[in-house]
Amino acid sequence: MIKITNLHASVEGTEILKGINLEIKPGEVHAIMGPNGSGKSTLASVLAGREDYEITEGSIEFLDKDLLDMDIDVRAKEGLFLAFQYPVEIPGVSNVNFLKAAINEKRKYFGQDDISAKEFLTAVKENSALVELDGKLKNRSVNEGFSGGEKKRNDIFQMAMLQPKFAILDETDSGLDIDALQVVAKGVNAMRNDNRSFLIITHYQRLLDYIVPDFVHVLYDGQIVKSGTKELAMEMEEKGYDWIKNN
Amino acid sequence: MDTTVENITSKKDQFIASIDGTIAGASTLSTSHVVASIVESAKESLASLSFPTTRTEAWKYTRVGKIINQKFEVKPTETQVEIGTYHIPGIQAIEMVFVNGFFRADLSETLENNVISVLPMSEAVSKYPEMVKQYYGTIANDKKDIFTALNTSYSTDGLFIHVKGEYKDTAIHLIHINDSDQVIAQCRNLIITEPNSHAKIVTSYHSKKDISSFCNQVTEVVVKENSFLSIDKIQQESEQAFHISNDFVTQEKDSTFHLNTFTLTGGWIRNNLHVHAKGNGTNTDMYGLYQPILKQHIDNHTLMIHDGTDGESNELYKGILYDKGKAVFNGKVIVAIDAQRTNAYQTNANVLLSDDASVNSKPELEIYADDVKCSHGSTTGQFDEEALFYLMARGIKKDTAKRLLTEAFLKEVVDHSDILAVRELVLRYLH
Repeated sequence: MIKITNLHASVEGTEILKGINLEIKPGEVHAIMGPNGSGKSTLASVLAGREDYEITEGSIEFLDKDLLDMDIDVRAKEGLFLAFQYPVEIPGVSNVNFLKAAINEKRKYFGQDDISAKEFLTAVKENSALVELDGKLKNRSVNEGFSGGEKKRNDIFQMAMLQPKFAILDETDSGLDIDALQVVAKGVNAMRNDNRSFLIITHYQRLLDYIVPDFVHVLYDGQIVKSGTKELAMEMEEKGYDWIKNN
Repeated sequence: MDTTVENITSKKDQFIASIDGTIAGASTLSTSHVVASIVESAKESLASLSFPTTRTEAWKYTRVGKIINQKFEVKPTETQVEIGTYHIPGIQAIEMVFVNGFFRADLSETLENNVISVLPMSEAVSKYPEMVKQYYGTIANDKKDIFTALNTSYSTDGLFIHVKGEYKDTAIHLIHINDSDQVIAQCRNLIITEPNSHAKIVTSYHSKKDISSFCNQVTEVVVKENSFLSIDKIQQESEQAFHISNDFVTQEKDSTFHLNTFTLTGGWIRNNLHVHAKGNGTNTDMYGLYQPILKQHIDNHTLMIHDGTDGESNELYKGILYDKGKAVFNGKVIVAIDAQRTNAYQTNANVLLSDDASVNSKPELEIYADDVKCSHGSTTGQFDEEALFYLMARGIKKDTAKRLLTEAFLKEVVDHSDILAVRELVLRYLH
């Protein structure tokens, strides 16, 4: 699915990622844990194409194509999805209208016709039910006046609508209470299948109780310093990040 | 005498002489005996007033030099004009067409019944001389403003609308086209809505590509007791077009007046909107949007005077500025001492999409009554980069994402038009 090789990235001259190597195969769920400032969100941003970062070395192959060569929207069209740590409010842009525009741009990219009104409405209905998103919220402006939990559920709703091949969840659990966390996890789990991969970025092990990863990596000072299975997350939780720092 | 003053004086004389010389002999609105005394007094004002300089407070950011350095001429025209492009798709409207400031009966549809009269001023002066005499030049002020005085002195024709009843399903669409190089067009419109009446007007201004033109229009409006009038003004002139609008409105008791100014294109524009709420319980909405590109200059000056009690005014002007575009907003609200329980709200918001674009925004409140609610706010910023990234991260192209944000920002103003066809047209012409 995606292969990251020796990735170095800087922001305003300061190197944040210092040689990341990571391969995620179809159907796999990988988790990246790490303390604040380790580069977790930078990795998510670089994958999605945020322009504030400079890639100084390394490569990313996404479905055998050069990801770094793609514009932000092309990455999304090719099947990459980023669930934001802080989903932004966009007053005046309707939630469903913008989603429809996104879906149709993607279809156009693959030479397909626009989605039919019926097909779209059915998908909206099913997917909003999946994340228990209030019907009224769908028709409002993107995230405007949404609570923290509603914003995260809206992101997962969008993910379900766009049916990506590879989804990155950037600290989706931050600021969520346990109920909202369970709803978000339910949405993600429902979308897990043999062809879709996930990268779950989190500070805490808690989310991984609900979305159980196949592999866990620990990111520290811009490098993956430890990899393992889900047990590693438990160990991290128990011993704390200082354990990594001191080793 | 100071040489610069002498220089300006002679420029003014030359500017006026060009108009005076080319209008001579023509039978126009300003030569009608019905308005003779008004025209005479306007000519006196014109002789004594000077063109404003940037030392004139109200013209601090808008230079008129580019206009008065040119020689504009009055140019009646009978030429073939392709009107189709100026038609608003899907609108139900009566179209009144003026080319170079002259009425084109061949392209227009007049209307006279017991609900409404729509005709050119040149006919109204002979058909309704008493009504014209009663209002003409009484609402507009040419004592202070040289461009209004210029219009009164040399107006060629204009639109006369007398609304007597509820005229709800159809709009009246004034189409104004400047079609000849170096033309000055001076339409003078008069709109009167009788008590309890209702009407919707659309005015659209156009000019032929690659010609230099000057539209100097004046509109006088009397909105009588409990009547409703909305005007959607669509400005869509070319790069080389100069445009000055002076709209003077008087509102009587419980009346409602909406004016939406959609400045889609144009070279150099100054809109003066004066609303005088004389009666109690009036409602006034002034909305506007502008989107200057290249070196376009768009100046909106509004004046809202609350003289009656329990009045409400809402003002919202929004702009997105590109390239070297420049915008000026000056909104003055005066609440007179007896205008208790007035609510007056004013907002001006701008988005600058280029380092070379600029905006000067100035709200002015003068409140003499003590029981009022007034607010004003002015913001200037950039598009939220995070919002742009969010939309693109969902697979939307940068251009489309920008367009979504543009529409989102201006939609509040667009949606204020009552007419769907106008809203659709404006959305289509947003950059």
